[in-house]
Amino acid sequence: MLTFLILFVLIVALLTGMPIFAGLALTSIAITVIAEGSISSIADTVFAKLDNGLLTAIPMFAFMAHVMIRAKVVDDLYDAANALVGHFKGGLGVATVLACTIFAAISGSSVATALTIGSSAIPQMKRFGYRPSDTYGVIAAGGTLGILIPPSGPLILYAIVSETSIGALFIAGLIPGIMMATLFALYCIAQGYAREGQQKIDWTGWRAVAGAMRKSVWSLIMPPLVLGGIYMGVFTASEAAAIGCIYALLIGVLVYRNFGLRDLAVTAFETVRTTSMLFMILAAAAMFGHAVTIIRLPIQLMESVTQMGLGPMAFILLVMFVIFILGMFLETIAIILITTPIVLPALMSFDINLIWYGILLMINLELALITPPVGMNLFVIKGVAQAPLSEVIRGALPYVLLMLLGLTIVLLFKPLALWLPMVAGFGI
Amino acid sequence: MQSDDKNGAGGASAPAPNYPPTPLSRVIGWLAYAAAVVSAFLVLFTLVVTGFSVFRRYVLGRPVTWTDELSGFLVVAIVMLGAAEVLRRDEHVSVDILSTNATGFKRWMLAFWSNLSVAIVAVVLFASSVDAVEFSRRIGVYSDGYLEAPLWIPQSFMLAGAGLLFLLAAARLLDLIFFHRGK
Repeated sequence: MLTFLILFVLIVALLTGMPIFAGLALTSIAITVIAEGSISSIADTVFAKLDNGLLTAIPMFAFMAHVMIRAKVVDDLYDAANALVGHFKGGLGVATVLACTIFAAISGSSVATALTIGSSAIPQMKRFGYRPSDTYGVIAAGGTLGILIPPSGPLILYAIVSETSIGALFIAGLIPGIMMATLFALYCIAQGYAREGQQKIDWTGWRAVAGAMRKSVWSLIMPPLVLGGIYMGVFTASEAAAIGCIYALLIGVLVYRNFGLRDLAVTAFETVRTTSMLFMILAAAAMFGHAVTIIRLPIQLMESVTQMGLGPMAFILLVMFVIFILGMFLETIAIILITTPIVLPALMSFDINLIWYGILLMINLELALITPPVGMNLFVIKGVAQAPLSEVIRGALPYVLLMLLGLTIVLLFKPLALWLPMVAGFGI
Repeated sequence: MQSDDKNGAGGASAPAPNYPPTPLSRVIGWLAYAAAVVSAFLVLFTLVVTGFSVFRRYVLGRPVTWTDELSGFLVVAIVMLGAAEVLRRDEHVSVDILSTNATGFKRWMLAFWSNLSVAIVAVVLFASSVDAVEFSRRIGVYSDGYLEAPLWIPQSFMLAGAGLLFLLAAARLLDLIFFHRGK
């Protein structure tokens, strides 16, 4: 009961529009003052959370993505995907999904993926007779892959809060991410057969495909470069991010020749803004985690679950349902940082694999990005296309069902998430 | 990894973007900007430190032991020195269902409440950081890694960051009370 009361107060506070870090911190301060009668532990809690070398992976991946986008290294991705699969029925949709998948592996951001690919894909798909709602739906959904396919900021934050391996989570996200992309692509092909007005682009031959691939080869090298080292257990996530940054800078300066000192300064400044925004929420979540631990909330939750006689699977289903509902109102980072400290002890007592749970959580959070009333990707597409929100929501609805299907599949077949990290030697 | 920032996306700002800053909040805004510039240099420095660590470990085969510890301190500094600038730009993520379409007094109230919440959090963090820094200096607490650095130094970034955040939020509150009342 106390859990729901605290969540309710927190959600009401957040709905008033205060920054999420302030809402989380205010709630935590109130609980801490009531329980401890002092605020002296707050700074120690924040410092202990932020003073963590592992966290440097986030600003460095952010820096890497900013460089790749600013140097326009990723601009040719959509054309390359189009040249490869655009001539099939529903091919432009498949190309959009493909471009989103690769872009997600470079940017790690769902919104950036939807925004960048959306700008190229929307006019093209409309020109070839795709219904506007179908167009918006596939881009909104394709964009969500950014949080599941590594490197992913939300995965890193979950790893930090749950004290699980970032590398293992990155690798675990690969197969479910590709599975989700495949489901989206299959739906696009089915839609291609069902819709009469959709046209294909002309097949221009393998020479044209090779030409388009050559143009985007520098961005295609990035994902295996960054993830390969983690997969082989050679690099930590921070080291892989540093190598990605150096690679992105070399490409921008030496190959594209459009990245100068001014761009470096702007990119570093953008990275500061991204990092501070994210980590202030992380700091507040640390306060929240500390506060709920003082009042023994996770233990009370565990006792309630035991009294209710819930098994591990029923507990996971309940948590997933709550997160799905929260996802309609809250932003993904906030959901990870609010719910994880509360459910973590129960997950551990049920012996639920935290890597598997992390992947389930990410798929559920993908849903949060396209479910109204607060679905970031819906708003991005609305903004890019200047389209009515209702049309974007209508287009995204089939993908909500596909994501629920994907969530169910990973829920039922655990090895989809755990096989690859086990093969890679992560002891999970 | 990119920021999931606004881009017309909604869901990402404190609800006060259209209230123009007065000279007081503009001056504090410059301080916030200056702190963020320092933070940007620290981002580049972090990249150099990690790159150096990778080079030593994989190219020279002589790993360095202090870079992780230093990186942790750098994270604290980057976050705290950048926080006020993010507020100045209204880029701290928020749920804006109510604030997007709010007008008149309702909008003023939401902006006031938003800045008040930030000011309260900042002042509590500042006060708590004063305790932490004082304690670390008095007892002589050092980091437990290779650097054995006095902890009050990295902890002081929390003081600076929370102080700036409070000043900016307070200036915006004053703006709202004295210059934008009822607008």
